Order: sequence, then C-alpha cells, then structure tokens
Amino acid sequence: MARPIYLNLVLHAHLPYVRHPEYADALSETWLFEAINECYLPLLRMLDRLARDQVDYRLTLSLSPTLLSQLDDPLLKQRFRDYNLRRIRLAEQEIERLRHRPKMQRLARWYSNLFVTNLDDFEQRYQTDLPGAFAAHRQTGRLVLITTAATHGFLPLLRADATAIGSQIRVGLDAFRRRFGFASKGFWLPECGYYPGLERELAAHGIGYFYTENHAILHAEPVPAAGVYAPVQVGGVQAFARHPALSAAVWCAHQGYPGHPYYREYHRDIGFELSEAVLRPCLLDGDVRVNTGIKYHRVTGHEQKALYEPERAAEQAWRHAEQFVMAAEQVATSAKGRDAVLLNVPFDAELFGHWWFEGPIWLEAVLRCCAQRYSPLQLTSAQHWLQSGRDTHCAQLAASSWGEKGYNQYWLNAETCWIYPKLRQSQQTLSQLARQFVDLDRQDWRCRALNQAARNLLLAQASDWPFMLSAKTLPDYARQRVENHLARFNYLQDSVLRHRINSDYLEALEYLDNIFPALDFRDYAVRLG
Amino acid sequence: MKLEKEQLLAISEDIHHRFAPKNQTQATSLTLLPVDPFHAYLYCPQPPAMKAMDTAWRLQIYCSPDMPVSATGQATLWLDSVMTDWPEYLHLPMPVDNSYYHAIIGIDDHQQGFLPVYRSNHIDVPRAKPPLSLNHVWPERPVFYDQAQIDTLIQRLIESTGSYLSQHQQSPGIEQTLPEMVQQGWRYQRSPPNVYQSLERLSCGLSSSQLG
Repeated sequence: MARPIYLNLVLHAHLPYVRHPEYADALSETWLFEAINECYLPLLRMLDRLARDQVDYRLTLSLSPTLLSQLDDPLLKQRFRDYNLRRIRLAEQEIERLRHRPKMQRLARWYSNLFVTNLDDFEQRYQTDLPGAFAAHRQTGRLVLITTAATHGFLPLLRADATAIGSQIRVGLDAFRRRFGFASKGFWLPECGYYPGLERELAAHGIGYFYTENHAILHAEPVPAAGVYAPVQVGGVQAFARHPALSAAVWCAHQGYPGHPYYREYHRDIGFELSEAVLRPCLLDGDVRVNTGIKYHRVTGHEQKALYEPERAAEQAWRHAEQFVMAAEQVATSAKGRDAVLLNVPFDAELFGHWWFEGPIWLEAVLRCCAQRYSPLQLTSAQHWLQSGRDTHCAQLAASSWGEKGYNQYWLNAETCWIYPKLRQSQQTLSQLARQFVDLDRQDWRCRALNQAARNLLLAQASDWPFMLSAKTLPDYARQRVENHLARFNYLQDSVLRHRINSDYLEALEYLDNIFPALDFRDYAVRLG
Repeated sequence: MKLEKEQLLAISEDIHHRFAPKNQTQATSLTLLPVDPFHAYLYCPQPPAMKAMDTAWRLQIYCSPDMPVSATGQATLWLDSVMTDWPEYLHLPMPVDNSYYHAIIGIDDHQQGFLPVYRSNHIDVPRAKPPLSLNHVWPERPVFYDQAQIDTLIQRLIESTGSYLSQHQQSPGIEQTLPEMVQQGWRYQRSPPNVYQSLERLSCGLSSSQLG
C-alpha cells in the first residue's frame, strides 16, 4: 500500500501599515487596494465556490495584524471605494478609446466587468468586512486562520532586546484574538526568520506550531531523519519546514509557473503606457502615474508582447496545477523510509492574483485536484496534522530565514544597518518609561502618549522597511517611515518626561497611527519587572 | 477627527523636523548582530568624551563553540586589534560558523594589561552546512543559496513532471472542473453559470455575452 502523502498549503497575507490620512492620495495605500482587488477578493470567491461545492479542502491562511487593521479601517474602506470607482471610469473610457480595436476592447470590457464585480462584492457580498468573510470559512473547519508578529518585525534582528520579541508576539496575538474572538494556535514567523531560543517565546505565548525555512531543519542538531517531510518539535513547539523546490516552482520569477508566456504580464500596466490625459481618473495628485490594474498583454517571451487571453491563461493555470500535484507526488516518492510524507508549501498570499494574476485559479485547481477521492495527495494543515497524534522528532533548529541567502542579510546590510541601534535605543527607553510610569491612571494623557509611543516603536520595527531599502523599492519612503515613527516616538517620550504635550498633536498622532487600540505600554514594564 | 489633512501633515512634518533621529548609526551599547554564518555587524557606543582617541583602545572578538558561562570563559580570542579610529559600526567576518561570539572594547594599561570597558551581547551564528549527509532525506541538494541552483532544480522538476504529464491521461474529473473554474472563477461572475461546459467551447474565445 502506498504511503499517504499530505500537502500542507499555507498563504501568508501581509501588507505593511500604509495608511496615510494626512494625504488625499497616497501611493502606498494603492498597494492595499491592489491586493484587495487582485488577491483577497479572488481568494474569498474561491473559498465561496469551494464551500458551495462542498470540496473537502484544507488551507491555512495567515493574516497579519497590520493587514487586519487596515482591512477594518473606515477611512481605507472609503478610499477603496473611490479607488475602484476611478478604475471603473477609466475602463469605460478604454472601451470607448478602443472602439476600433475590437480585441483590446474586449479586454477593456473584461476589466470593466472585473472592477464592477470587485466593488459590488466588497460592498454587497462581503459587506466591506473581508476579515469576517475569511473567518466565516473557518467555521467549516477547512480553513485555518493564524497570525504573525504585530508589525511583521524581523525577529532575529530584534532579539538583542527580549522585550522587543515579546511585544511583537504578544501584541500580534492579542490583535488577532480581539478581532476574531479566538486565539491563533499557529504563528507565521515574519520572513520565516528563526533563531535558536525563539521557540521559548512562542511557547510562552501559547503557540503550538510555526513555519520555517527548510534549512532550519536540515541544519538542525540532530538532523531529523525525516528531514523536511515531518514537523520537528523544538522546545515544545512544532516547526513545519517549507519544501524548497515545490515552493520555488510557484514563486520563482525565473523558472516558476508565473513566468509562463500565457500568463498576464504584470509589468505592462497602462498606467505607465498611456498619456496623462487618458489616465486622468487614476493619476495620484493629478499627475503621478500608478498601476491601474488594466494590463492588456501576456508574458509572451522575448518577442513583442501579445495580447492577453484570459481563457487560455486559465487553462494553463489548470495544467500547472496538475503538474504541481504530480511534482509533489514525485518529490514525496523520493523521501525514503517514512510512514507518511508531509509537504509544507507556504507562500506570500499576494503572489496569488497580484503578482501572479492566474494564481487563484491555480490554487483552486490544486485544492480541487487534491480533494478528489482518487488523488494521491491528501490536503492537510499543521493544525490537522498535529491533531492526528503522530510522533515527532525533537531537535534544535538552526537560525534561518527565507530571505536571499537564507539568513539575515536582506534585512541587515549597508543600506539598512542604521536602523537597528535606533530601534534598540527606543526599545530600552520605552521599557524604562514603562517601569517609571507603570502606576499611571488610564485617563492620564501620559498613558495615552506612552501607548502611542509603543505603537510607533512597533511600526518602526516592521521588516518591510529594511526589505524595501534592500530591494530599492521606494527606498526614500521606507527610510522616511522608520524616521517618522521614531520621531513620533521621541516626541511622545519627550512630552511625557517634560509633563507637557500639545493635545492636538497627541490626537493627530493617535489618528495617524490608529493601530492596536488595546495596546498597553505597561506590558513593557511587566516583561522586565 | 477634528483635524484636517493639512493639519495632520503639518504636525507630522513638524515632529519629523524636530525629533527625527540623527543620521549617525551610533549605538547606546556595544552590540553584535549576526548576518549569516560568517558575518556580523558590531555597533559601537559613543566613546567617553575626554580625548577618546588619545587612549589606546583595543577591540577583541571572542569565539566559542558553546554559550560561554562567563565573559571570556572557554572562548577563543580570534581578533585583537588596536582601534585607530572609533567607528559607529563594523561589518565583521566571522571565522567559524555554528559558534558563539562576543566583543569587548577596552584599554591597554601598561600595569594592569587589558581593561574591558564595553562588553557586547553574545550572538550565535548558524551552521553553514548540514552536519551530516542528507542524501537519505533530500536526494537533490539540501539547501539552496543561489538563484542558479534554484533555477536548475526547478527546471528539472518542471521538465520531469511535464513529461510525466504527457505520458499519462488526465485525472478523471479535471475536464469537468476546468470549465467550471474558468467560468466561475475567472470571470468573477456571482451567479453560477452553466457548470459543465466543454474545453472546446472555451477555446473558441470570448463572446460579448460572456464579457458582460
């Protein structure tokens, strides 16, 4: 009898905190709106279809606290509506502009229909509550929801101060529990960043399992006999390691599925191709070009880009899904000497639909293929796997991340090294202040100021800023975000120490960074006390 | 919120102007941060104000296979260098992977020898290679470190499964679920359309009714 093969698909949905009420139009907010349109709504519709058809799938979805906060934010919901209305207007203009080019005009109609459907689904079908819509699917037991660190801090580089690690984990878990009414049993390590000893912090916060990069296990001591094909217990917490080749077959830009010639070309958005007069509805501040979401071309190849053909692309996504299932089966066959083989395949959720437009189709096809009775692969989740009571090996995992070269380099290099001493200094200052003012009355403005200082420190710790600096993706914005949050932190702590604050300033800062409303700065004192 | 956008922006800019951290990378304490198995950053605190560089400062880096129980106990001194200037930070190569490191900055005293003034935190750098052969677990390569390796393996994987696919019949049911996926998932229609269309019909292209 063949060994059972289990496939554990995990999506990690995260966006940094990019809300900017101080601007009428903020480029960074369009990242959220693009992700809603191209990733979160398609994923929800996929889950709806699977539920309607009673497909017995298993899928784990990690929702980061910063993403949840923004999906729930009234201002951003309103702006998302405006964003889509502008795209609907642009698509209508395109239908008219392309009246003599019927093939392109059909695509313009297709986009018009897509934008209308997106807005309609957001407002009517999901009542603007996307986290709630995901949570509804959890009720079936097929979708597992987990979360991650408060602002996605890269934990291996914050560990010089244990308070920073504790606050990232505690505040993240607390935000998730308050939002959904249940605790996250699993934890997504930001960037899969692990260091020996982190498991103690996770265990102390009630975490049962986490995901990690493959060499955390392959370099472990002792090396588990099952390698990455089974979880490993470390300090009472279970670690599930990513399977390298299966994951890379999907995300890899060079050789992975998304680079297939039939798929939509991400980089050919009309927002950067047409005249400003045509693009007027979608220009930021009247003159800044951004992605419109309308892309007429497919990847094609090195030759001139051909027009995108949605049906052809969808068929290809299905073929790739089948190919993936067979690849997984083959990979599992090569894992010798196991009773059961577990393949953990986690991805950034935004790959599906945003970066790889056809990704949600591929994912749905994989889930449907695996859920069929004859499938050699059985879908599972870490939670379901652990409930099955299988034995696990114990080992001390090795430090690792899923970043370039496998360690901390992408977040600590010549471009980013200036950040960490500043974060550490602020962390130490906050801990000191928390001990000094631990008995403050909750109505005291200083209590509000210290809570706001803690929010700003968490926001400055996000892994996204050093990532953007290293990737040279809007590095000025990333640098400014770190500086702004630390400046706000400095202003607030300075005000507390001087016993004087401008109430308009405090109110403004609370509105500008309105995340984690339940955060209590006193927790920073408890840790060291 | 009673404040307008312009007021929010003005407050934000004022705070940034007055309170943004200075550009320097000076730490408050001697701090090591690991980069990978063979590199780390060392952040130096502000030196004592009085003629800091008139003093003969030395930097020492210690390495040990296990977490040292005392400051320098069981640790090997592998770097002992006179500091000709006082850097904000150093990007250091580390000689041995899978080891613990810590740093000390101190003063050379003619009578008492080396006097530690600043002590860093301890860091551990990870292994660079698996401790054993892993062929029984992962017959290809255990870990990827560069894109070329990843590309090669994926290409091999995709080619092998592609040929596998062409040699085998499609799984039963796929020809039914694909049209449904395209019909319902792709065009984002909310009302369920005719579920079981044939692939041939789909390949005919888009019709105006399908495009809504």
